[in-house]
Amino acid sequence: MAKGHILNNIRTLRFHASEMTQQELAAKVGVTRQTIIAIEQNKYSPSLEVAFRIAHVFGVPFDQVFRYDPYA
Amino acid sequence: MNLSYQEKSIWGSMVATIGVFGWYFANTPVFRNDGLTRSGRLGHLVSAVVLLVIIQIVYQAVVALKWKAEKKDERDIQIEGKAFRNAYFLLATGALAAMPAVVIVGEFHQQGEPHLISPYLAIDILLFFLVAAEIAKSATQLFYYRRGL
Repeated sequence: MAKGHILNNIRTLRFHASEMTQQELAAKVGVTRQTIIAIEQNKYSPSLEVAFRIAHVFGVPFDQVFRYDPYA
Repeated sequence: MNLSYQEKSIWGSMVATIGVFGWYFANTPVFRNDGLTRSGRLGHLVSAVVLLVIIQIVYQAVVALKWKAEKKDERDIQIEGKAFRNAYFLLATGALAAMPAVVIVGEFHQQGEPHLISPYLAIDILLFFLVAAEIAKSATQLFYYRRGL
């Protein structure tokens, strides 16, 4: 069975959103800064709710933030 | 190492538990009947618990004052869930290990040799596994905070 992994562009999106800090994003999403760090490093796959909230903060569709790589 | 608020809190809790109950078990003969009265044995246990509570209150207060306290989020709760599962296995093992201990102590009493074995053997086994479960819970949390889920 392929392991698969959810990858994301949060770091890039933060950069394009006036260099938003991890702490600012965490506050807007309602999680801790450590969780944002873990998501950015692909060490944690967030719940659908948090994933959608992140996309909402950046004002972009969900699939511009997250993508699934079945071979990662 | 950049530790999160939760990690700092867990590290303190784990070190305090190891220290205090390390002292308790080092000074409490688990198998041998040391002739300690029930109140003497209870005194050891109460001292350990009170000491642990005081250390925890002081440490957690210092951590909360020095670093801004953070509310647990979904990742913290998921990690805690995995940690509780590991702790449960240890606690269940302790419960199973305490059962024969009750029988063994009873056998020694029936043989007329109660002085050879601690009457509190089952309690100490349960307590040991309870402490081990708490340590395993903390260690599991720290592991997943570092490695990721």
